[in-house]
Amino acid sequence: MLLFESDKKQTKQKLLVRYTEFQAIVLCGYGNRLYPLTEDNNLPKALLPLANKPMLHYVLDWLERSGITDVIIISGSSGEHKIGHYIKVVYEGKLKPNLEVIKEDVGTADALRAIKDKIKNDFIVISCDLVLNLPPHQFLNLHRTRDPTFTALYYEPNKSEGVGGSGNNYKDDNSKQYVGVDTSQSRLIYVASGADLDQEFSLRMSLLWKFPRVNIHTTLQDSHLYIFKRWVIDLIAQKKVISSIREHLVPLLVKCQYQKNLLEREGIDKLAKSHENHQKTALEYSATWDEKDKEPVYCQVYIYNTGFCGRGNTVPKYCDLNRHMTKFSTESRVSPSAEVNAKTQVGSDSLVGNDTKIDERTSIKRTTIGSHCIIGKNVKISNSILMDDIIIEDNVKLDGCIVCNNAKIMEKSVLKDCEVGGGYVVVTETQAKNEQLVEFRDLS
Amino acid sequence: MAPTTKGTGKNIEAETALQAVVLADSFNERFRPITLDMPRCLLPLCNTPLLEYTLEFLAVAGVQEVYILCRAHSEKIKNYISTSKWNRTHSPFKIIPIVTPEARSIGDVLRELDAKQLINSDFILISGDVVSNIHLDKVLDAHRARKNIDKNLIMTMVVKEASPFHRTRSLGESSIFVLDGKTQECVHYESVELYPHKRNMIMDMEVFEKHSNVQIRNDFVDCQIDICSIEVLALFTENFDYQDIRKDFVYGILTSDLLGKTIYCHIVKDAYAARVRDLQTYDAISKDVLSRWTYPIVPDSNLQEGDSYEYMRGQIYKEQNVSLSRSCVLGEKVIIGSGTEIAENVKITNSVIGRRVNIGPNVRIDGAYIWDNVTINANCSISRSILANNVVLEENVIVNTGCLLSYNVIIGPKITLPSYTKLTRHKQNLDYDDYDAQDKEDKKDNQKDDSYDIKLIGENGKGHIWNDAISDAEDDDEAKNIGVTTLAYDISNLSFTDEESAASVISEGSSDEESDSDEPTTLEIFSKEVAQTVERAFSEGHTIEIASLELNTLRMASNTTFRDTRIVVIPSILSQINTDKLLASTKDVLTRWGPLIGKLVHSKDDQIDALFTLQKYCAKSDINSKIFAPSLRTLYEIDVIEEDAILEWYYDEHSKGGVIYSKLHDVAAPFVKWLEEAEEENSEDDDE
Repeated sequence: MLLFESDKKQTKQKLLVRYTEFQAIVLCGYGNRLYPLTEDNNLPKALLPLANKPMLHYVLDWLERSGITDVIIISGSSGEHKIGHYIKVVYEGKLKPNLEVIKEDVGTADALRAIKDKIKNDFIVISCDLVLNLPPHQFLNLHRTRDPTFTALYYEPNKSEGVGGSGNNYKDDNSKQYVGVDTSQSRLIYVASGADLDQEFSLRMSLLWKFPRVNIHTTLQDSHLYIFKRWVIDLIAQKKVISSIREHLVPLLVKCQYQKNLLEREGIDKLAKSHENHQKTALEYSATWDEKDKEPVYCQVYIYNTGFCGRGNTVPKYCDLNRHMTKFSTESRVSPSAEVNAKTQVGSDSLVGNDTKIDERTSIKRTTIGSHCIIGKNVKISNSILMDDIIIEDNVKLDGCIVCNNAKIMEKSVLKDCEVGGGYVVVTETQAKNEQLVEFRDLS
Repeated sequence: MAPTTKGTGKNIEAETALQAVVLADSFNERFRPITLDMPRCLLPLCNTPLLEYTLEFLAVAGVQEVYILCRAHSEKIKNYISTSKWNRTHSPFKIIPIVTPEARSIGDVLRELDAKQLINSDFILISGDVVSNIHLDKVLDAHRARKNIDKNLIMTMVVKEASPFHRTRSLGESSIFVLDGKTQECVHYESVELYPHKRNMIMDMEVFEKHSNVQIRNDFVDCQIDICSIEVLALFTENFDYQDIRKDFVYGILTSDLLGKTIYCHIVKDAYAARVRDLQTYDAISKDVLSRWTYPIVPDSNLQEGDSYEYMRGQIYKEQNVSLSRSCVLGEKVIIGSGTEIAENVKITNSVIGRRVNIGPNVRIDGAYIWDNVTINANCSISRSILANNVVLEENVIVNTGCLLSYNVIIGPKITLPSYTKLTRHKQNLDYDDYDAQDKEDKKDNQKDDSYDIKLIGENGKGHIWNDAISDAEDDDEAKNIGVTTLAYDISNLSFTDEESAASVISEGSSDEESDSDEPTTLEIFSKEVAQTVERAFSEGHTIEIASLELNTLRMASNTTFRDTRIVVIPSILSQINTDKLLASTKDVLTRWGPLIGKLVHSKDDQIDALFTLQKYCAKSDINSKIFAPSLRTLYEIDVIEEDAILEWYYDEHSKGGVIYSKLHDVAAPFVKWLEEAEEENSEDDDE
């Protein structure tokens, strides 16, 4: 009798385990290109505010809508405390993400390798700095229909968005991507970045024999959102040289589609075979079996050009993203708990956070202001991002600036296109343009 | 005849007349030796001269003036035109032949045309061997619309979408088009030939500055139908080094920074267009015509005057006055011209039979092209070959796949022609220069000497072997390309294998990854040369020093390792051993040549590796295995291999792998034992 009862319990438990189709892995990088915003005295990249909500919020929201329950957040040790705090205390969504802490400053693939034992299913890799309007099911369904090795999301950056905060020059930093797509099969068959190519553009004939129609796009950007098959993590585990997903893993897999020898040399064909699912095996014996399905590596791409998509991985892109999010934010423009003087103008394209006080004769345009800030009289702020707990004294002018937590800007300072580091004090009557005002870190 | 037509052509006031220029000469030799007697554009395709298809196509497109540019056999073309329906009063266009005997390329022809100042507006440039049912008027409209947007437009190339291995896409000469994704402006052109093997397609990065979305297409059948503005002719005149319209002109215009002219592609998806470029495409297009892909251009449309084809079930086309015996069997895709007589028990499938052909009893014909006035006597069998006009096969002749029998050749009796035999009545002339004179009738008579190869073509046979390899094709690669195209001419069997070989060539291309050092080809060449060097050293009795110097030079020149050299040298030396007197010979050979191996061995690892090479050679056959022990011993004695290396090799796991290997391993056992004992003795000696 007793035996029987315990049995029953077990089956009950088993039923409770939900079938997970995908695991999601959120990469919270350090954000080297967001210096000085991501210094220790401010916030890790994942928590930088976009329309007064941390970036991570948007990513988790997207994942929640996709119906994924198993979410792992990977962060470097520096962000451990703050992100952990955010997940436990601040985050209000339904997901229960697990935080995994790894070494600082490793590549994206290295990060996956570090947690390889936790990856049991096909997995989604998403960067914490991605904002995406695409409904998740559209992307997931494309992956489901073909069941490829991976599906990547590429997007066309919105040109309509205004000029960035401090010098909108993210086009020239060799980030021009050459993306080759076979449109008929939405297959990714070529990737290269402008830095890799010199004077000549060359394509292998073996590629052209296999894929006679190649569309090379130069306007597309990698969103760093991927769905990988489970066996790819084994590949990453095996090959220590793969350190970055975008720079190493994706090009390798893409090449494997048409370079048979590479495929065999790297043993990828065996890896791919070892994880074939039952459906595929069954299909193999069916009459509808297509020769094409035998390909061990199939790289799929979703090109998203009908809606908004952006990444905040550099300062200007972060500004753009924030501006966009502020514009379309559904929150009330001025938080009910904020105290804004009646003689102050707050533009409808701006946001003012909780408990912020703004004194009289101040004008705020196209600006996001965080919580607990104190802004003085006759201050002009435009095109800027002010995070939390900032003090701005009277007669200050800010244009295109990003001011980090706990900073203080004293009277009559005029700043244009500047980034003010966390806790930094800008002294009276400072005039600055295109500068990064940061406290010197003690190197000891 | 011709001058008068030309005169009238000039007088016409044709401001708006649509003009077309037909290139009647192909300027290559894909159809040799048949084209020694007949220009390519007059060769019959499904019993209708090729030119007829092109002219029909132009007539449908509403062309009003046609200039035919001919070079070789110009008289024949002129005669043909003057007697054809195109020269009648009801002809839809004026047809004007222009002879350019001096021209050596399409470029020359067009320059001459420019000098004549006959063209006065946009014109259609087409070669005389195109079969197509495209509605060219739409293409012309699109061209004009494009020209309104882009003033620099000088040319629209009509291309047909297909798969890269499409049957009408000549593997010998295909091409890659790079287009702007939106406007279909051609931004880069690259020709692809099977030989020399192309690994990469390269273009300038600048392309991406102007075009954000670029399409690279390797799936176009380029049938060389171009809509050109007059400037094209002027550009040819300005750039007198342009020869080919694609490789030179298109490539030149697109890569030129100064000209700023643009060329567009017009992609055709649902119509038929193909060009008879070589025998392979000749075969494919013939079948397409018979299977009605080219509708309405099919035999039962009776393009020529006097044609009387009827379409019957099973894709059989038959003209009037064909006499079929009761017991003959016609399979699918057969066309038979009038006046043909077919005797009892004949079986014909997938074939074109010309007019006034006489086929004797018990003949089998499959996939063959038999032109007019051919006589095939009893019990012959022909598969996938071309028999030109007036060919005679005596009794019991078997013509295997891929043969090409040019005009008036006689074979037989009781002869089996091997595959890919090309025969002509002309003697292959290695002196290239006087081939222009070859179409003169009297020359044929001069060649009636007795030098026919009776064994090959039979007692009554008349005809000389034509060899592409020694024909004056510009270089090896061109000859190879011709080889491929004739080879692939066999559709089911051979084009398939050819496709496979092409595919393997392609995958070979992908074999060398980022590292260029391990290119298989250089290594192969190197191995071959090393083998030759060693062979020479043996036969001429070089000293070890000289031989090793030669090998070293070779090695450095091809940037390979000592190991690669050893792998070739060791087996070559061992193969010198006389197996009858095994022991003595081994010793002799190795004392003489062993030091050469010594020159290639520098460390213990090298020695071990050399031992493995030795073992591998000896494992190949039983006889070889017998020389293993003696050579091991001799090599040890002449100090090429030291005992440490032998011991290490002996205890290496790999030396025991496999049955034969372990046998050899065992053979070495006594010797190794002896070595070990000797060593022990030595050490004992040392101890004392």
